[in-house]
Amino acid sequence: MKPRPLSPHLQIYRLPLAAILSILHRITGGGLVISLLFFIAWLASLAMGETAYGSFKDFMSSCFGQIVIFFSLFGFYYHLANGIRHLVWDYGHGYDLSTVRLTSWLVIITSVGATILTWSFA
Amino acid sequence: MTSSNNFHTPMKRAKGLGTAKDGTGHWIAQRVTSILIAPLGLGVIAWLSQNHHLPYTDMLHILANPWIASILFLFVGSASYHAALGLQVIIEDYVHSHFWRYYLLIKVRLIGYLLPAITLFLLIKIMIMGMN
Repeated sequence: MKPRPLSPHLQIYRLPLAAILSILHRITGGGLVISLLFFIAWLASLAMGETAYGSFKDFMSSCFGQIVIFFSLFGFYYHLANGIRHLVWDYGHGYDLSTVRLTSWLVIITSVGATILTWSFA
Repeated sequence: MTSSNNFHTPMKRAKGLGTAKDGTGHWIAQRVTSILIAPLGLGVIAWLSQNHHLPYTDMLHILANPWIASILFLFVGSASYHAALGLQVIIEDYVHSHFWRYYLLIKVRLIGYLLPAITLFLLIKIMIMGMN
């Protein structure tokens, strides 16, 4: 007999919003480690002299560099907003479904909004 | 456990594998650092978003200020510690091969020490360069 699919079977199971936000917290957390490396690289270029600083800035204004900055911003704001939600959960509040749904959307709206705001005012 | 270890008592097998006695410290440290990173990270992003176009020497002089250098060191230090703890949890959850699990866990911890050390010396060099 064919082995039956286990539940939740990721290829079939449609993740609820809270699950998507949960895995996104991990993904942004991992991604922010790369952002931190870029921040240290910025300090390193500053310490290495004007030419190195110039080439680092050129690199960051390239298409790839701009993508790095954009995702770093979104990653930080998302991880921050969802992290605050985690701290509230740690205090034992906000576990009922309607509150989770509300705060999920709050996290999405604030992180996307803050990213767009920072991007347009930079 | 392999079958060749079956003559060991359960206590003998559990010893040295780590127990649940020090996980709480990680959990608390993850949250304490998060409270530090929130204002520091927001501050760094807000400042950089407005001042990233500053000329090289201006940027050098600003970062040579010991108060600003301290804030940046605190930011990178707490973020590195937070990152090392977070990556540790991810590795513990997903990497099951004994070799890779411990290889990566050790590497992540070392990088967590390395990044603040590198940052500290970069900031010292920036401070010396910005003085004259």
